Amino acid sequence: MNRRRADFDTDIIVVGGGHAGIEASLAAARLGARTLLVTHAIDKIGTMPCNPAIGGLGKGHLVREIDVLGGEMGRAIDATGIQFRILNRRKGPAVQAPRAQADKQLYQQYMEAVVCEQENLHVIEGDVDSLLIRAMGEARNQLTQKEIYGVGLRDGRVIHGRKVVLCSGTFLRGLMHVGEQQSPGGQAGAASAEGLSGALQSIGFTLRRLKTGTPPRIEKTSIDYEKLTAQAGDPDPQPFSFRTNHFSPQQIECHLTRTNTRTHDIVARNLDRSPLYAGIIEGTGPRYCPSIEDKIVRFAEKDHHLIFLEPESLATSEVYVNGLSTSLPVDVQQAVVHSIEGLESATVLRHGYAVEYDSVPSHQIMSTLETKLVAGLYMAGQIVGTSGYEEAAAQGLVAGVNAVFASDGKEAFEPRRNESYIGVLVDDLVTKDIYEPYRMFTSRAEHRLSLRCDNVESRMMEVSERIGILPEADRLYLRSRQEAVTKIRRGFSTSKGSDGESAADLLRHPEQTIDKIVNNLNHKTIKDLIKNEINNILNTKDKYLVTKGVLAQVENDVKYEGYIEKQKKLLRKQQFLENLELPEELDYRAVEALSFEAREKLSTIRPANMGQASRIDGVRAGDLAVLSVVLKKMQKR
Amino acid sequence: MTSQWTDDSTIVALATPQGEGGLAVVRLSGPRAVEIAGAVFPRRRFVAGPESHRALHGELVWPPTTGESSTTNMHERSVGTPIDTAVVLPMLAPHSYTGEDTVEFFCHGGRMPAQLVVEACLLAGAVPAGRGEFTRRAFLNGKLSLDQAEAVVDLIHAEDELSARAALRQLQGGFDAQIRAIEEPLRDILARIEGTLEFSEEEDIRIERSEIERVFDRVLSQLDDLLALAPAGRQLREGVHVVLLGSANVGKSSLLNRLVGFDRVLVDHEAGTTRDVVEVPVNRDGTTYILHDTAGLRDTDGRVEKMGIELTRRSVRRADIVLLLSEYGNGNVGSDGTWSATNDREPTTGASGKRDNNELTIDRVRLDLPPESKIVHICTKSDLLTTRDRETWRQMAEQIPVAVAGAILTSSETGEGVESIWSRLFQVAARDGLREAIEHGVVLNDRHVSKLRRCRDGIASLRRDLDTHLASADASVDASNDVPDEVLGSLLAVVVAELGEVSGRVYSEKILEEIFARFCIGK
Repeated sequence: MNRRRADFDTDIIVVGGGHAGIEASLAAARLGARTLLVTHAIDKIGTMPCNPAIGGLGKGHLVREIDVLGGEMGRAIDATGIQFRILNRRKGPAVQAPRAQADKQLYQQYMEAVVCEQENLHVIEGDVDSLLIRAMGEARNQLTQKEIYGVGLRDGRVIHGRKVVLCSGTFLRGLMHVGEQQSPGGQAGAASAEGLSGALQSIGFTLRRLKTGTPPRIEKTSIDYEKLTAQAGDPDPQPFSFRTNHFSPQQIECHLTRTNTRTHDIVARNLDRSPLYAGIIEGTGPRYCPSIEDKIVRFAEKDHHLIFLEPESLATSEVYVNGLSTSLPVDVQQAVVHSIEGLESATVLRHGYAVEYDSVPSHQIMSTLETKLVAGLYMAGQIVGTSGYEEAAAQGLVAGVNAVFASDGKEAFEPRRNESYIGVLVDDLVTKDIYEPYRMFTSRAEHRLSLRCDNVESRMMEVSERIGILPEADRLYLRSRQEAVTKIRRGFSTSKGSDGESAADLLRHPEQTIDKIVNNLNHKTIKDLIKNEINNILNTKDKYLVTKGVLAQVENDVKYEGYIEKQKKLLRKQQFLENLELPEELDYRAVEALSFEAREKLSTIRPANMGQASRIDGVRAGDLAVLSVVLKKMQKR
Repeated sequence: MTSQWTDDSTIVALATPQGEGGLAVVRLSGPRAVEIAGAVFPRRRFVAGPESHRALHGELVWPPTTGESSTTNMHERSVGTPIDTAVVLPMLAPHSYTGEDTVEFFCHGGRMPAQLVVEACLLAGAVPAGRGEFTRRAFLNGKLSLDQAEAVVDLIHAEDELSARAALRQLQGGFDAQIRAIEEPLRDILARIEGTLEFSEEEDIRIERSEIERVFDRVLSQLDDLLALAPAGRQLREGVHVVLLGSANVGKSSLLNRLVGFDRVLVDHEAGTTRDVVEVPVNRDGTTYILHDTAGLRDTDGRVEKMGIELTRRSVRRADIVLLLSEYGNGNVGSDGTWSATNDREPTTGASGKRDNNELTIDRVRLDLPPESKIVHICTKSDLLTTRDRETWRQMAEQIPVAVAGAILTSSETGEGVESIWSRLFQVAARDGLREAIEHGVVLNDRHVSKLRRCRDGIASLRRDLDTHLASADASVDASNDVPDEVLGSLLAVVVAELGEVSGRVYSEKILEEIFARFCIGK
């Protein structure tokens, strides 16, 4: 055991200054724990190595949830965004979500400043290459017999801490590919963490190779905008954070173009020079974010693919060519870019690349994000196989909170999938065997109709209060907004017209909106009643609470009510399974009636309840039946 | 090697169907199977440690009663006296059907010898096997998949040839293919709905409401067809329940004895002799029928009879076919020249029936009857009728509505009508889908039925949602105000998952996978 004197001694050590590491270290520090963030380069904190955007479907939901829990991401993008849109405006509220183009430079600077100025949070530059592990005084269970007490840096420094949150992104044995060229590194211009992979393996963690990629960046002034379709932000931009006031961002335009058959020919002719198709890349890439090589091979029948030109910053002239992710050699990339309308004479500033990295398949963590093998070691973000800034941030927050709660002996924060997208994310990580980088989609949330952006404050307020990151004033503000929602909602049910129809009944008609009812309806009685109810609030000092958002939530609650009931009924059986706990001492390998696959999966994943067991790939209905027999038998004893 | 999840008792039961047959097999399974068998079959070569799958022949004898016996030696048979000669086949764990140590005795046919062997094993310390328990143990020891176990249980219950054939088909996966045919179009629809929601910015994925409606309609009728086989499945598993119903002393028990071919039920001319419901299984033309002889219906204060009436009600609820018995001149085919399915005459001589829709009052006891198509009207005691009475009855019978399963004139004295009843029972049972079930190779068990019902209800309700909104949306309203796509997707996803469970496949990632495979998604 390494008993050499530590250079630092702290409560929580966070490794990595990406989007997971930021939320983890801020959450820990804001909860009062002495926190140390170790990162490669302080001026890279909050870098966006991939597309310059935050939010989108599922992802926007995550950011809104992070915000109500006291995370930083929502405020950061509100402060540094340069185009704001609500996606799916023409579809239902459950599948609408905010998305914003970020000014990468400003975003990075904002995050760096917040992190460096945070009380209780100390930041050092360094390269973690070993984990300090010792046997636990008393093993927690069969699996957890070791605990972490610090990390070692490459330069020999030693940091002691009670908990460690590992957020090392794509840096574990990161390998970058551009054509036939390879260089070690986790992303453009950064070194890779070689030693950590080995350290994890020697402890007993299984690693899996994943792959992701980026497109080329081109020079803004070399684009022929005349030929392109512009895409503007919303005229009434909405902030992500409930804490953002006086929101009137300066907005820029993005532009749309498309590939053509000439582009496809170039790619097809040079496939043998793509590391992906030449068999050099072994990691699995995400299918929802295919490289241009993939698109052309797998969807040969399509004669074009959309390309979005997204400015990276107001201060620089780099433009992100979204949709053209590639690892083709430099000369081919140039030809591909120049074959596209509007980009005929574009200057490529940086070339696209693919990056391969080690991940720790997520069945090795629990829903607190603590690893099963090593007590006190938490993991968040790409290291456990997710992709996306938002997914990383959400996990960072959960891990940071739990690291502090565990050292304080507080009950863990284990978000549930019927409460939030964060819950869906964590539950999926724990139960799914992830072979490609995991991204959030609304289809992943079976409770989608109730997990909306508009009701995020109602959903998360109580959890947020228990966690306690938000400052008192924000908590009080949330609470009074919730009271306003409740009052208005009640008003809608109780105010009835002469025909006995309530305002809520009226609102249930598909063509009705609160706006119409309050403003242009002939239905005089209802109009007056509703107005009174809202006026009651408006006339008090709380009138600022009746915002568009509050009204939208009431409207959506009413409109979805029947459907949500229906969904609940359909999901009742599943909910029942969620409440059947699986005992920790259950030895799945001894249950011979289980299929071989189920026995293996259940033994490694060790689900907390039957609900989780049912979501494990390879656990079939028959296996669940066997488990219920086994459970009954165990209860009898 | 026995699994820790298996009971440690050793179970015994007759493994071949009860009744005739050249050979009867008694199966003994559990950790003490070899020891118990050794007490009944004390050949040295066996007792010294039998070789697995090596059959031995010899004499079975009465074993000494042990402290663990689950029965007592009622007949005081002396230890060591012979029972039968038999072939004894030990199959040691895990190489047996149950995965436990198993010993099978192949005895001479007929009920008696085999029954005595079972009894001997009980004396030696075995316990009687519960219904399907061998299969349950096989399942728990990893010898069978759930689908197979269910089909095998059906096979055990199928006491006749027809059912065995259908159960076999299920083992071979015919059912799976049918579920897949329902599942796949739904998954396609779901993938496209979700695609339009998740990737509206990036890819032009479209799905028309009319196409969704078409698929839903087709799936609904497929599910209905499958569910129509549910009663047939039960009939195949348990047999066709035939309930004999009628006033006290109308001759139910006599007719039952005639149908069975020997005196199975105590008959007395005093009304109310049968106070219990007697269930008699009969195998006829390859189909099992379970004949229920019910108590005569009399509203009475006698507690026993009240109980009998309650049992009768229960039998009628389970009935696949009801034989409604009455005497000529009383009851349904009246002497007044009318077909009186709703005969409202007051009873004149003790026994009479009064019907109102599907409710029948016999002797002032009200019963809920199955639909007419499952009722065969039986006029009993035809030997007492004059030629003119017969002619009148025949004319009446011709007026019977087509919906009714038929009317038959019978006599338990002469045997008249008994064969007609059998062929009518066969027709009704076959019409109700027995044949069809076999044709489709589908025997639904209760788990399938309840899941399929939930799916059907789920789709039907979504289908209604599509309709309602089309109906209520006036021209001025934007078409996007129909049931929203995200609602349709969310609810459909649950139904599709449920269907996957019927066939044992669980879909978690499948829908997203389908989207990725079909559409070029991703910026």
